[in-house]
Amino acid sequence: MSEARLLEAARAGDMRAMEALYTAHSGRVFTVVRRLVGDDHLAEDVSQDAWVRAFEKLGSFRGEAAFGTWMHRLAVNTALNRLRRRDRRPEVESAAEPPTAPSDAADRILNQRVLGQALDRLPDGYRRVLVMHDVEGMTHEEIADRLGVAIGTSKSQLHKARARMRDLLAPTVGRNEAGNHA
Amino acid sequence: MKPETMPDHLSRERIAALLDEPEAPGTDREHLDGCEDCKREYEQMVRTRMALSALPDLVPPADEWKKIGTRLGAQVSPIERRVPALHATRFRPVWAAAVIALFVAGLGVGRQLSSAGEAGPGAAASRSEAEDPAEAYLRTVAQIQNLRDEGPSGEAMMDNPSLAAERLMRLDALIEASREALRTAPTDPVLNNLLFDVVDERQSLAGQMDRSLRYTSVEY
Repeated sequence: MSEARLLEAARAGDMRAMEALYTAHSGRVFTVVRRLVGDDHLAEDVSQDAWVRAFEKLGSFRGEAAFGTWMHRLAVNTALNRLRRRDRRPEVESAAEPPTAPSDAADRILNQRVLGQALDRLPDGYRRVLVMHDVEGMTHEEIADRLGVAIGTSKSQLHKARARMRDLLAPTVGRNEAGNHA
Repeated sequence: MKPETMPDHLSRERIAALLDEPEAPGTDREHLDGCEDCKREYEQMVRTRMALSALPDLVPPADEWKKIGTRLGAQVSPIERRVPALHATRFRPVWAAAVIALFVAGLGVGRQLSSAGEAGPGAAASRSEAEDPAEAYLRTVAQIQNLRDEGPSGEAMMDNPSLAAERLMRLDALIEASREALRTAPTDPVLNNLLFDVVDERQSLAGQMDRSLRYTSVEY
């Protein structure tokens, strides 16, 4: 069935249609939410919120973009709003252990698990810009717009985030390989 | 922790900025080109960035939809909200209203199906306009039941997605027609049963199609 028909049915309250839309896009939604918030439990909560909001607001979806694009935007906004609430608390870097290195040195930097752990350990502000730019491929203009900050701030946060990622990954990559860069 | 900058090397932040300025002229770029340590650091950042952009999608928790469904269920109960339950209202024959509604519905179904290049019950319903209302009612109900009952087997539809899609369209048209009719005759038991049967089949078919689609790639 086409997505347009699924949307029509979902707007009419058809739970099967809603489930089909969820099934098609849930992986993408959960992924961006999980990467932005950096925490399993919070991600589950935010992802659910995003879907409930989406189905409640489906009537306002006019089909100007693909549903996946609309849903992705809504998920990012939901995650950012939740992070803003968390921003009111002092931001501290996670005290968790540094990412553990896999045994194969040649592939260490590319190990997805290690990268994921390093992302989780970034402060919220760094992580959200890094995820939006380097993972999701958003431009600084988009990021600045979504976060309500200057483009220069977005760039500066990104560069700091990349540098911090290198700090976090350095133990797994090897100090010699990382060089004497701060 | 190391100092932010080293006398003879670029800071990591500066190297991170150079990732976005590959053609940038200036002393930093010249340093990068001539310094093996900084170049190695730059290459590591490039690799990290590439790895970040290639991270695979995660799998949501297995019970996520159940939880979402529970939260939505408190607000959305599609069929029950639109159609009064049979036990909630006293049955009262509504032949005259039902006949009118079914003619309208029959014509609606006919239009939707004929637009897909098929003959529907609309023509038959039109022909029956001059008939006795009770007979016309029974005839139209029978036509809708036939429309519901005809078609390929479930197995054939699963082997041929276009047959399944066609059946789904047919069921959608029947649901729409039944709902339209029920606005005029909300307690009619035949119409209610028809609607419930068709909705059940549609949900079952959509579920089967959905499950088969899960094994195909999803485009974004």
